[in-house]
Amino acid sequence: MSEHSFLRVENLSVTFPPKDARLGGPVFAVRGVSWTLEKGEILGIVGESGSGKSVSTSAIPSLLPAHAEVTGDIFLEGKQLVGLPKEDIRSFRGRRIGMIFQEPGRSYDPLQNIGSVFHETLANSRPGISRQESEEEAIRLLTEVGLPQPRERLGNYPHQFSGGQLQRIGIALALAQGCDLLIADEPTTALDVTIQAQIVALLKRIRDDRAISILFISHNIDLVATISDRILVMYGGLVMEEGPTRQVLASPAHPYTTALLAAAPRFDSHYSTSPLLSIPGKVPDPSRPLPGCPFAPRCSRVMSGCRTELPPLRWGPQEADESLARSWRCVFDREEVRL
Amino acid sequence: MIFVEPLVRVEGLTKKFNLEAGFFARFGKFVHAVNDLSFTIGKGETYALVGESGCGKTTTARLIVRMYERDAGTIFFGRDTDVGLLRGRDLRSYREKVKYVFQDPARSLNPRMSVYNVLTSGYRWSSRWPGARRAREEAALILEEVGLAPSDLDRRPADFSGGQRQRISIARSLLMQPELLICDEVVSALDVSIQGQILNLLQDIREKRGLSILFIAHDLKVASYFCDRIGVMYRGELMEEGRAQDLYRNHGHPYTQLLFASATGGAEEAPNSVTTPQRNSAHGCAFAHRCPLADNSCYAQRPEWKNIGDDHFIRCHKR
Amino acid sequence: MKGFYAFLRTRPLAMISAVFLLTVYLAMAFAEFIAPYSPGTSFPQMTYHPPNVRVSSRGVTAQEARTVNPVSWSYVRVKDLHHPLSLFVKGEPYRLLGFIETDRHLFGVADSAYPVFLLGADNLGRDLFSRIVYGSRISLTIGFIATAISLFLAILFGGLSGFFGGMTDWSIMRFSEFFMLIPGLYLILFLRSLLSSTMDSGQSYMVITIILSLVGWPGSARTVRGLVHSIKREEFVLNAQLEGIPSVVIIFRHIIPQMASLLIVSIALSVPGFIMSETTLSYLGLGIVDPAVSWGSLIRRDISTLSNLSNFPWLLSPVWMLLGVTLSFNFIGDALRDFYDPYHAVFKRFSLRTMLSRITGRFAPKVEGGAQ
Repeated sequence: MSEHSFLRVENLSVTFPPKDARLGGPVFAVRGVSWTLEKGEILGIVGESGSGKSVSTSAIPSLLPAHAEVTGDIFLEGKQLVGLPKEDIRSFRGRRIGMIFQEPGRSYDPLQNIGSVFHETLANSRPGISRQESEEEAIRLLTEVGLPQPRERLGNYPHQFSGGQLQRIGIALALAQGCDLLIADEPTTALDVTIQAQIVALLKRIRDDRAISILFISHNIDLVATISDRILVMYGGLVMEEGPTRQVLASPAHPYTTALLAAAPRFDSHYSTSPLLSIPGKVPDPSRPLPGCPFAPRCSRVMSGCRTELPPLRWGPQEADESLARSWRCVFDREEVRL
Repeated sequence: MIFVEPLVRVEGLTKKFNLEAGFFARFGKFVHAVNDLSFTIGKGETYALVGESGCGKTTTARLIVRMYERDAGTIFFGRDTDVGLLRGRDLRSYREKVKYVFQDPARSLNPRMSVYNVLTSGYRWSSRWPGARRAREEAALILEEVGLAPSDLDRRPADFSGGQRQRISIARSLLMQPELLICDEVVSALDVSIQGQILNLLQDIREKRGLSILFIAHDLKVASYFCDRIGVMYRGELMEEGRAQDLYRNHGHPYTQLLFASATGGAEEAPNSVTTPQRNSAHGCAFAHRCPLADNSCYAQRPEWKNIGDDHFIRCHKR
Repeated sequence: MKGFYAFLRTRPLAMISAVFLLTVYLAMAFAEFIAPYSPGTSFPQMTYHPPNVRVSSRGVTAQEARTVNPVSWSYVRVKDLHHPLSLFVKGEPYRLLGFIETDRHLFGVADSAYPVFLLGADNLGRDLFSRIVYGSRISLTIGFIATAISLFLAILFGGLSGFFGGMTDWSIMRFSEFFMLIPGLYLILFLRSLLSSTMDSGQSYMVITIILSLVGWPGSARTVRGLVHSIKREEFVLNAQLEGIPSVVIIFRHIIPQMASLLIVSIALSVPGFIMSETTLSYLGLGIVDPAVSWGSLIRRDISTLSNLSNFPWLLSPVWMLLGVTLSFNFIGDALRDFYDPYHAVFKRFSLRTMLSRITGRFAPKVEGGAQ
């Protein structure tokens, strides 16, 4: 973990105290995660429901509900983001950090046309910008994200666009203020698979053209594999494994990653010839964290110690190129799991 | 595997929806949700209808259970029963043999009822209701079959996880010994680690009971793994149909090609060209506007449904 | 229920309201015991007698008073004429709870030497306190019965209307609008003129209740209809239809229970509305008539003159009772609403810690830590 990384998250925890006695105990959404992101890198964060992937990334631009308790550190180019007062966070949002969300249709005011949304966004970092200028800039951005006929469509309203187009517009808006970090939280989950592929290719191109860093969050490990340079696997509010995408997928170090890869059906496999490996049990409840490894109840290689003590983070052999570093949280050494 | 005896035969099924409703509806502006669709499901076979949103696969499934009424075409069940003509008691008995499982178990189970009531509230009104005590025994057995415990009968759906709720939903559909199960995206809303559990469960059930399944999905990988044959739909029409095991290596239609490529991350970043509204005419190929191979003949005339191999059909001029 | 009790403890206002209402309803049940006199008992020499209960070194006593001016009915207390009050005194005989014969009352003056007016007397020398206690029977129950009838009609018509749509919906809505268009007051006058001009108290009670519910149901029916219409499209309803369950069963066994929390809250908030409606009617003389008593009939034209109000302020007691009961129902209704929908609670849960931390900047709320 480099001290000079573009984005450095250290021991981040997010807990939601209950608003009301009736709503149960506190929810431990994120229980201490650490990772880094370099400039121009795409980090894919994979996890199922309750893994904490969305909550941990929403903490970066401080988009969590007011009563959330965030501890730990988030350093964006050395500047601490945790505990930053509201006015200062606002200077980061949009200008340094952009974000796109799962359901593009829900992110827009249905009564505001796209041109006006762009004007508002651009005026945030360039107050006093004229309508003419914001229009031209909007057209430039929309062309960049591949929206056909941008000039004619500036006057259109959100309901006149398809889901894929709205997501492209969302990306354009996120880039409008020239952000260095784009957080994409399940951006394609609500879209058709063909549109999914297009959006993923678009994000890759934007990263190449603008050298921005991207955090790509999804529950679909294969999708994440198509876009990310490095991959982070989360489960039960903790990081289970991290490393270069190709290596992690080719030879996973953590039993959860292995199980996740084996559980998804692949092309060229059929029920009549190869049974599907399924993981028994269910995903953990963030309001009732168990001691020990969160995956222990479902792990095929569980040992007695796994249930009582949280396994430490292990690292792969020291590499010259830091981007090839691997880590995983398990009692097993990499070689043992691979057997 | 060849499934000789057909259980469901759909011929020329068509369904239109009016784009404008109410007092100001102008006739002529409508959407062909399903357009001259024909396919067959054999006894014991699992047939997948695959496609993206709006292709008509869910509408087709709902037409088969008569949640909607068809505008044209016929649906045959069993030997020669025309489903569209069933009324009253016959319709009810048909609906006991064909069961529909919904995508989202959080919404398809009544949150205020106990699991026992969820399972049996429909059973109670059927002709085969065996009385409360026997029904409770049957419900307990079904729960065990799907991997839950008889004590769960008195709990509420909210006490269960997504995967467990889907098991309850499946159990409800099995209670009256159906012959055909229509699974509408039943694993799409589940976590990846749970998907496999449900697919394995369905596998056990269909083997044990000799069930036929109509499997609606948008995920080609799941469909290719789980089903016997796949039908690829686009804008209400079947574009290609073939054996699940072969389709990955041997598919012909450009749309199928696009779907497989997108699923494996090999697609290009062509700008989204689906800006035209749904077609409302039957001219030309439905996919022409997006097809890299399209030419004038594609726009002018709708391609025929051709047989190009073992159980392999395609609707394309260019292949 | 247990959950709600725990919730109430975080809402002091609602808790107080609940206790208050429970007390009032208990008093209503034991009205004959608690009230020293029956509502008709009058003391002809004691018109507008002021409240005369005194607590002093002599203990709790009822003090005598004499009129100074028979025209304006102002009284002067007689200095040393006190009668001690005691508990469980003998008084007028009655049947407790309808079947136990007794003549003990909660409090009173032994040997009935002098009347005790806890809240003074009215223009016929009748004890106001007793009349209020007896009046609670009508005022408090009419709200519930009218609500019950009104809700029943609303669920029935709203359910059928929302589920079936089309012609059924159209005709039911037009039918309900008929009731909405007619002002309640005119409906009462109309019905009153149809029936005999003199009705006994029982009949007038029935008529008023029915009229109130008839006027009240269309509004709730519309709400129910809207909700049924939207719930109808849920998948579990589609599934019920596919399973061959009859529509009526689906409406009332599958759909309506989804709205249970809403209906409970609406009950808590509509009871006071009906109580106030009855009060208005009786105040105008169109509701409960003598000898029956309700709080509305107690707020008669006597009190609407300023001189009466300043001279005999105790005549306003029924108003305070009504205020208390209405506010209590509203506070409880709010609490119920927040109980069922904690995510949209308007008022945050009361916490001493939070208050202190806001004031002093210390004592921030603690949360037990989890695994790190």
